[in-house]
Amino acid sequence: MDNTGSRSTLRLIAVLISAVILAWCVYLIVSAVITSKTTGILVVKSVQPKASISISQPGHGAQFIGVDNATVRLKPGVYNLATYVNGKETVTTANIKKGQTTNATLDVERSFTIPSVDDVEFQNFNFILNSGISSEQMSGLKLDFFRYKPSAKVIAVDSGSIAQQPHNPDSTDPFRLDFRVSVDGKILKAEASYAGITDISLKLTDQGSGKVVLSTN
Amino acid sequence: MVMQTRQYIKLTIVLVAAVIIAFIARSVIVGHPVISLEPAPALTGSVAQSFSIGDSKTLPVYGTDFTLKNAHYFENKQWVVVMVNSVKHDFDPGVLVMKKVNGAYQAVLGPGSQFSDSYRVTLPNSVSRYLGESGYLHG
Repeated sequence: MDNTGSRSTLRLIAVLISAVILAWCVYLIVSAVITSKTTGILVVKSVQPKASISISQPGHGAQFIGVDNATVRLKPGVYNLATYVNGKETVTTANIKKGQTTNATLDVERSFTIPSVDDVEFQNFNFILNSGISSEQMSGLKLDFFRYKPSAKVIAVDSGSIAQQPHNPDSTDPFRLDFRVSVDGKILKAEASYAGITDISLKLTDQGSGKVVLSTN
Repeated sequence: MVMQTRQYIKLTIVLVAAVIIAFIARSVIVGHPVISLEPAPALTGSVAQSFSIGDSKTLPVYGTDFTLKNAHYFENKQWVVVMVNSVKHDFDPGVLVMKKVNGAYQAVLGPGSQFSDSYRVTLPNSVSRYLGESGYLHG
């Protein structure tokens, strides 16, 4: 009698454990179906290799999702995608919709950057410094060239063209240096007027048309 | 008794098979990792993303790695300047300038405490004025 009772108890436990495991299996499958129907797929690729791809949303944190490319499921909504490679970050957005696949591409070469005077390569400017202007005035002069073309890559002074203009030592008029300069290959005539150790202004004239293209007076 | 042991072994095999099948089915149905982002203060995600470098697989976490304060929006919220502080002192606190590009904020300057005065030429007046008045631009 005892033997029969313990067998029945064992059978009952086995049935209960089986029921729990099977219910959990059903839950796994049902929740997977619900997830697949209530989410969308994002396929994102980076043009550049070794690029870390991440996503975020306004009012949410960010998460890494892959290197070079990633395919993930997301709840519907607009997501910010970003990659950072070679010192540049690029971002875009992707609108995820239920049951749909959204493709996105990230290319850091299309990254938005703010030019700085430090990004410009100034060539032969040491010859101007040797002509008597202060280093502070030199910074101002470079800034004036940058004002003319913030996207300039190379600004090169024609060192042979530098000419100090006559100056009356009794007058308070500024000193003047004339020289030719190439701004990304475009030849301009430059007139730098300077006084004291901080004041400087620049006038740039198009060599071909004779038109004044910048005057910082 | 032997009969009953065999039945239990069969049942165990069936259950293990059911679990394996359930996992395989789930994997096939869902197909890809499901990502869920934690709620966090505004700009947190964009700032964390701007700290991702190269093939790094981790991003800094708000509150654990960094905090944000004094967010100032400009130009119809196309630009924002925000102060970023390091919780673990991994980097010096500084301002980060972000611009909305393709609908998302992208870090374009910083984080730092001193920037070239030449940014007055290329940043919108409202942003450069704020940075200048706050002492972040120098000649």
